[in-house]
Amino acid sequence: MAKKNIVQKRMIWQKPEIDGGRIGNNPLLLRISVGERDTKIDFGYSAYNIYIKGGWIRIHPDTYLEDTKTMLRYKMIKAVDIPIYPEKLEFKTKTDWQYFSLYFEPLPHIDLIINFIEPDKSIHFDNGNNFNFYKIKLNTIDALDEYKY
Amino acid sequence: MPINKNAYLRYKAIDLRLRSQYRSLPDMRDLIDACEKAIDYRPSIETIQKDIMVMRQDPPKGFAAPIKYCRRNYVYEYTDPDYTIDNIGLNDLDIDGIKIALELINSIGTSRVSQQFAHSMEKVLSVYKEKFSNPINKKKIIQTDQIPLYRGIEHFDLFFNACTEELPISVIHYSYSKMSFNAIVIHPRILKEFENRWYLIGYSEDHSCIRLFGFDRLYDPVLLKRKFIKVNQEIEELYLKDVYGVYPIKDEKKQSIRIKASSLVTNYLMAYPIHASQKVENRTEYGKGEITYELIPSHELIRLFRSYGNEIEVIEPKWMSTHFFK
Repeated sequence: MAKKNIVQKRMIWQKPEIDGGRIGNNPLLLRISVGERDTKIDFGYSAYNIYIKGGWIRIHPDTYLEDTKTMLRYKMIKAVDIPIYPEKLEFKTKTDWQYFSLYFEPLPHIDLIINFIEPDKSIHFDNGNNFNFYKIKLNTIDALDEYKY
Repeated sequence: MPINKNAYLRYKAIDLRLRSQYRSLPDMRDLIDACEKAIDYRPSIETIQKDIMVMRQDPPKGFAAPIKYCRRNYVYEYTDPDYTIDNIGLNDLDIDGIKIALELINSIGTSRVSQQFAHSMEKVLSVYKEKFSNPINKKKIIQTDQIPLYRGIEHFDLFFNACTEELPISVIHYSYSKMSFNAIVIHPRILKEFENRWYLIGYSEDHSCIRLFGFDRLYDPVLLKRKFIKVNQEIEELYLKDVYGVYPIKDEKKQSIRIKASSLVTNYLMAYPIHASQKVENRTEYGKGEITYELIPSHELIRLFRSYGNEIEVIEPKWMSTHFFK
């Protein structure tokens, strides 16, 4: 279980810097927002040209965020607009796209470098093209604050 | 006879004062005081006397209010302690007026207005159907464009609030042409509807200029606590005043656009001008005409011209004629 830190305001990072890099732009990590109850990560996925009818996507239920300094893990608690394994979303054409969001336990309200890990060693998950992002920089000074009424 | 708003407020104030169980029966001064609070100025004795007279009249002119004047104590009272003008229903003219307005709003459809308004209208419509339905006349009279709900319209309220309160928004944008996503910050200024589609016009931090975004391409907007960037109002107004449609052709300025049109199209455009700058000149004996506009050329304008096929010919600007019509 991740360490509890209460964040009063929701902080938003658009297109955060990813030091660890990632081959290609699919999915594209668009936005991370950290609130007191969850961390939300928004992705955009454009169907691939190489697959017949664009291929498919899904997310592993054991996906987590990892603080690279403390190695604390933050579990995924909800997936919106992307099916969780073993379900999958099959595209109908090579030009389809999908916007989806994943919710995790709340990150602390401090400067962080995190990894986004979709486990690939699971025997239940046979796809090598997992959505992993390494060394995502979340500096509080770069964050946008959400406006709440 | 329609009742003006101030008069109605006075009737309500008099009614409320007469029904007050915790105060002594009101005299004329008490009624004037009560009305003064309701309308922010002090009405004369004559006004209140007329109001009482009107309230006593039978509907539809009045409210059949059982107001009695006690000559001994100089006070007014209701002879029926349960009476209130709130129990008086709408008169026939009121109902007819509401029916017409509701039919029009119902025809426009709630997809083109905010969710908040839609919700209010649904409540009114439910009462309308329950109380005022007229089984003899169920035929639909007003027919407007009915479009199904489309992606992004659910953000109407948020975009509207962002414009009115000048709040930037973080939003995910999907470009159909580039087939790619982007996370952007927009400082929204105007909501524009064109051909039943809604667009948000605002300053985009990523593009460093005013841009227009179709609602259907915007995902998951979030209001931001951040300094709002205002841009020159004239630039914003370009999108409203000098463009037909929503997508001006890049780098093109406002210019004269001249077409020659057949009599059919000339008559049509005279009946339904597409822009305030439209002028029809040089009409021939057989009704053909030259039509001019002062506009920034847009993709929608070219699409419209093309839809007329051989019925029109673009004279000016030359580039438009060469690129799009040859």
